[in-house]
Amino acid sequence: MLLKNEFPHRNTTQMWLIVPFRHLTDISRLNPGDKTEIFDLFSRCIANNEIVGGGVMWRFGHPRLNVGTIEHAHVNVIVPTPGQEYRPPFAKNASEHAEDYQRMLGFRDELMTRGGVAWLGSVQGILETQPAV
Amino acid sequence: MSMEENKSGLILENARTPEQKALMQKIVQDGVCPFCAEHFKTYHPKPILKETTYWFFTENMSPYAGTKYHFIFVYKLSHITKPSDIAPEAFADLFALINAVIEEYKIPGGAFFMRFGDTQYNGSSVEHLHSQLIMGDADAPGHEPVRVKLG
Repeated sequence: MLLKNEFPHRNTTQMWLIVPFRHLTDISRLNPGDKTEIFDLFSRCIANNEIVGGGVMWRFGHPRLNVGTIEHAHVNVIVPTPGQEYRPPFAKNASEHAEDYQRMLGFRDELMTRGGVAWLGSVQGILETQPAV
Repeated sequence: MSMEENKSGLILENARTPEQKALMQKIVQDGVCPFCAEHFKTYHPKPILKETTYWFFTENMSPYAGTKYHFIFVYKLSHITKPSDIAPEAFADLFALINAVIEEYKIPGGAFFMRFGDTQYNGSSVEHLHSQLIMGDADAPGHEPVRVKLG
């Protein structure tokens, strides 16, 4: 599925996520259908959102080496703001990890006020969190 | 030299090291794209480690500070700048090659990324489509976070 990243980084104009429905953390387990769909979703993302340039990024393996916040495999499609420097991190120091942890706790609290995982998977939750593709 | 006269697809202001910039200036003068298949072996200073129908696999000549590995995968079939122009089978081939590299070099974690399109948005020094795989050297003393310029 193609999702809009609800927590875009500073100095970006668009951030999208391509996420497999099934729980997948190892990219070596992608099957031919997965690869085709990733390619298809990426192409549609670019076309539907008038994206003329940017980057595609995929973290993999141990989070210590890629500072991913979620192990579930996902592809990031990123459109930096022209004229502003943007550098996504692939490693972080202790204070940056602490910031991420606080941010994660904030997301958890917000999710719980809305009804938790049940809300996230409900029709209303899907409508609010996922854009039409 | 104007943008129109620069046929190399190189963006000098995004070069990271003096050596890289010097090589890029020479290539701009030569007027060719150094990542196009007919020129790649002439200009790239690192050996080609693997080659498939669709991709060259080699080391980045100017690896990012703080990385243990910094590899690049360069598209062979034609001069393109957008992933949507890649042949679908080439995309699958890229994934297979990345998996083989992760296994061969025993890379426990990292990231791969691909800049695309208008270089105003992506900080690329070479327009010709290529993908990169990096692993930070997290065990090195005083290791600093690896930050890649994407814009």
